[in-house]
Amino acid sequence: MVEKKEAAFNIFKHNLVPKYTKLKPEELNGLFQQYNISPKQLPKLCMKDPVAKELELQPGDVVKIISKSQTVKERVFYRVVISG
Amino acid sequence: MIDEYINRGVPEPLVRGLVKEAEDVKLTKAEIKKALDRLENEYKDAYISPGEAIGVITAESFGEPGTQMTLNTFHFAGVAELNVTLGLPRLIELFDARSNVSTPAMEIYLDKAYTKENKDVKKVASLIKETKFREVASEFVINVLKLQVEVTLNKKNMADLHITEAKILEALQSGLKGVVVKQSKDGIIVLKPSSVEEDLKEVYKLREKAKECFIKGVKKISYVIPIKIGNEFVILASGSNLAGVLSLKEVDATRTITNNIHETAEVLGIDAAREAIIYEAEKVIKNQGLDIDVRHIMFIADLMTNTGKVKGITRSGITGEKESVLARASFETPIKHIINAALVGEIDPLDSVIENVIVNQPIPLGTGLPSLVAKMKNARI
Repeated sequence: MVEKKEAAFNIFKHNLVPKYTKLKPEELNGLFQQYNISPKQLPKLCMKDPVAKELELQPGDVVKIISKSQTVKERVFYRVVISG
Repeated sequence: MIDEYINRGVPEPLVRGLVKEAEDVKLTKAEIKKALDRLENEYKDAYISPGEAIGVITAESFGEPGTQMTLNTFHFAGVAELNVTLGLPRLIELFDARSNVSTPAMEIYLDKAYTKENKDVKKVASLIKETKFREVASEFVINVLKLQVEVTLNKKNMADLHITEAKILEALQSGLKGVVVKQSKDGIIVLKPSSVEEDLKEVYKLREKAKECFIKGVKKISYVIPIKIGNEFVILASGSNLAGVLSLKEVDATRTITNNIHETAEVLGIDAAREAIIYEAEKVIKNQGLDIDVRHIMFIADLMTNTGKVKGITRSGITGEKESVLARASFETPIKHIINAALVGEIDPLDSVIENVIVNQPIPLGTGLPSLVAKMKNARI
């Protein structure tokens, strides 16, 4: 019932919502090496987040986010999915 | 040639802007390349160096204009009768990420088919506005003998709001639990508690409940005004219900926004909330005639949404999540923090600014930072 209600509009079409792509497992190591970080240091995305629900993400997944920005045309950053 | 510079990290708008200007004044290719090289150098020179205290710069950038804002605090402005909190109170509310916005409001854009004619816009506006039972009723009478509430309907208001009697009956039936709803022959709606132990008090309670019963519209939207921006109609609403409004097919679900950050995060996700924070903060600052670089606002918005949830800059938000005990204690309620830390035996690694100021050590910022990187084992001083 609740899910049906949410499907009344597509959140990814909203201007405020950036473009999300889930990274493949083989892409992860490259990303961590490029910035010399561990997944813990990335910004987080909660499982409860509507975006995570919509894309059916699991904890540990990393998403690449491309959002429009006033200063640089496209701002690329990453979030790691956490439970909670 | 352009892509080459973009790939090396120079922002696209800069490169394209320069090339466009250069072509306008008819520079040769070699000259453009020279200019682009210069641009790249200038851009890389402008990088923030490691150890720069950007948080302090942001705080100062907000602090100075903020002092000017305080003078015109608590002013209300807006279109027609719609009040919106602006100025410093709004900014504080925004950065504290309060869940109760003092004046919730929405900007509702309409689907293309409904923006042309005034009549259509009004119809959509009445569809969005929450209508309660008392708005379509002219009289609530308590019948003491029969222990029931008798309601006379206001036909004129019903016509204005495009509501039929059948719809009202249906809404009452689902809105009031444990109540028998009937319509008598002369059009009066009769409400009677269905519980066995009827007493007058119950009937009084029922009358008050019935007045607030939801009939139609989107819940929580208490007031709407259509206004014209450019050449299209936009509905400004006081009260906020993003999910409810976006579900309507008459509404443009790509542009409609609310000023409640938490609601945005709940409905559209954390990154939408980040954008909303930037948008709202910019709106306040521009409205006051001030100019703060958007990068500072972005930085705060990033900080507030970093953990995946919207966190305000308060002791329960990001300040309360600082690693160091001393840093937390120096912000608000110091004794509570220190006692709790002592109880669990917390260790303070002293690797940030404020705790090092407290214990009188060099702070790891600017020239104080490199000691973290350089190994001083065999160095002679």
